[in-house]
Amino acid sequence: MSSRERRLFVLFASLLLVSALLIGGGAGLAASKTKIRLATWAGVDEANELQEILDNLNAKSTTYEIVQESSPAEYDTKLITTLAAEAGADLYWIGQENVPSFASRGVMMDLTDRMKASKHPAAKLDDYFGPTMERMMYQDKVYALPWINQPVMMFTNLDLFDREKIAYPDETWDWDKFLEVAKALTVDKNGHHPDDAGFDPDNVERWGFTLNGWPPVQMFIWQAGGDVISEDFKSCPVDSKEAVFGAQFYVDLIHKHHVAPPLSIIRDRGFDTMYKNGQVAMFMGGAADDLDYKPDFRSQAFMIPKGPSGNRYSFLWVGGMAVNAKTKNPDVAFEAFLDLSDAIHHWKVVPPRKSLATKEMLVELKPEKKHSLDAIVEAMNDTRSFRIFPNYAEWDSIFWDQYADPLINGRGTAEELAKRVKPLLEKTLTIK
Amino acid sequence: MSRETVTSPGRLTPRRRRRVKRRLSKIIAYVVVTVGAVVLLVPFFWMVTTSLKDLNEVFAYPPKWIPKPPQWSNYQDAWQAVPFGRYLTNTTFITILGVLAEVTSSTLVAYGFSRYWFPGRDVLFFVLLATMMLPFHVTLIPTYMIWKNLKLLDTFDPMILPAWTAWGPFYVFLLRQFFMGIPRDLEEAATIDGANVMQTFTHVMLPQVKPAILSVAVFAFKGYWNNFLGPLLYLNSMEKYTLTLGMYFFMGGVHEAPKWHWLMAMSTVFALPMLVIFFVAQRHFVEGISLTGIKG
Repeated sequence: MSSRERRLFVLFASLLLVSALLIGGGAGLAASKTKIRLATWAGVDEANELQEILDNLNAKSTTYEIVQESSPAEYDTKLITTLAAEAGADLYWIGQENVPSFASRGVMMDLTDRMKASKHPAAKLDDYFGPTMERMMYQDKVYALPWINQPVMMFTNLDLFDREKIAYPDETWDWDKFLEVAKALTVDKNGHHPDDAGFDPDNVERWGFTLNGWPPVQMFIWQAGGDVISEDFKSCPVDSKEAVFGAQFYVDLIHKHHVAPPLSIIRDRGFDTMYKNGQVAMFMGGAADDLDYKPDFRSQAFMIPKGPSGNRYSFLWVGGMAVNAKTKNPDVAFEAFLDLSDAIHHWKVVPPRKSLATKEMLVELKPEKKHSLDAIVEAMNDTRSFRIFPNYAEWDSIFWDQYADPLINGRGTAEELAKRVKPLLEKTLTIK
Repeated sequence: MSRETVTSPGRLTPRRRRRVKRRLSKIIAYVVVTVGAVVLLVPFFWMVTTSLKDLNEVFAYPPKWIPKPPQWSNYQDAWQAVPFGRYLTNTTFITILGVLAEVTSSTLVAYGFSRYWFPGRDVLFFVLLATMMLPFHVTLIPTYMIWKNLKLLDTFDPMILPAWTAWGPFYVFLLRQFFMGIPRDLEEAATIDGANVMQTFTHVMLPQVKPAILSVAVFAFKGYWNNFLGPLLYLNSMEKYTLTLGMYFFMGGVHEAPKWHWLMAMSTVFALPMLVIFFVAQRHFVEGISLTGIKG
């Protein structure tokens, strides 16, 4: 072997060694405390705020050290891969839509008995709002604890209302009143409103409302007295008179009444940005959104209008936290889980616990939302969320791709699309 | 008197007509290329200008192409909001080792496939190429479990070590085509001069495929620099994250609006090394991907 070859060989071997050894190895942790990994989807601000909470908890605890592992993008991909390989974090955030599927696959720890035996304030199940807690249960067993409730609220540009001399939304508002006000607030370049002669829907300067699949069409169907999945999970009555009426009203706001912008405009200008820029007067968003204190105008969250069936079901999204069924330290993980759940309940608006979801408590948590809190607390009493089952992801994909999306884009009426999609949706209910 | 002067006005001589035709086709070509360049540059321009906008200006209507005043502080704010210094070090580390491994292993394997015959060689080569057709979803969990069993999760190893096994079939294919275009006479001459296999490979063959090696290096650099899925799955500790993962912190989430201005600021910074490398290596790179054999 020549000296050049020897040098090449040594270089090659060294590189292999550097790759394999030098870069390997994880961070060590103080031996006295058990490391508890927490997987989250937190973005930059949320992750920094959460880290402060974790630092406090870790400082107080003698048993655990919670380490945050945030994946703001492709969170589900990472979570599912790691859980499938039995290498998932000890604790993980979970959206309501995944609970039945994960629980049925045995990757979430059954917390029922541990909760009963615990005296921790976060373990009192009767303190949680019923519809919220339901989303964290599967077959009557507790698999996660919720840490946030997000009823849909109607954020309203008060300056615009004052300028147009329109009274603010109140509990008497129904769909008719909502549409009437949305029309009054929609104006084209020539100052015409949708019912005026000469109104130009292609040159609207400001819209009364906006939607792009959010808020979910299901909310309007429920308010019209319809449903998309029956209570017994045996049928999908999307073609009922009520469901069709609710869904059609939803999209007519764009295509018939012209009080909401077409999707192409929303894509160009940004969904909530249009509200913040004053191009949209009313916006339905989650209770925790910053739309009632961030914009440069006076803005307030009100309860959404009630539908023709008399209810004002506000779509509720529940975020929760679960313990990995395969955690190597179930006791310590459960202890950290309860402490962290309680700490998050004192951070996020709206807390899922009745004892914490009071106006006084919320003012303390989010003083900048003080003017909206009466409505937010009130909205908590009239919430509803999706009916979720283990095969929900497939159902949801069909519902969105073959019903909601074409409906919003004007590629069919609610009646036509409902007839077509119903058998496909019902088929997913039968798959175990 | 030239021929042009005797022709009646309005009528062109064939020579002049040819010149006009040439000029016209040149103009058309320039217009087409310019339009194409503008179309391709608009997103880049938007990225840079957005990186200098205030968040409220990002979706302003009518759109503001030039931010006034430019928010240079976006770069500093974004850089400090997430530990990008750390992430840059991690990314650079993975990229340098990965590219080195990729180039070394692909070159060796490609040379073997192009010059040595052994039973099942062609079948093996087709199997190698066929792995390009496998969707990553199929191998995602099994691969992840291998690294888990090797106890190498949350390390950079899963991103770098496989590169030593010539895991890029496209690179092997590209280099093999190059090697196959080199006349065997060169190797035979080297052998007659007393060179052994390694000497022939390093002294004779490698210099011949430099453009291809450079192309592979640029492709591999791009792949490692932009790699998202690998770091997402294999890295847990946030201090080990890479730039791509770091940037996603600005994409917002369930309870957070996206910070487009910061995202674009970091995207601009993130794209710079790629641009520099492309422009520096452009000549060889283009040559590498356009040639399929030895230069005459």
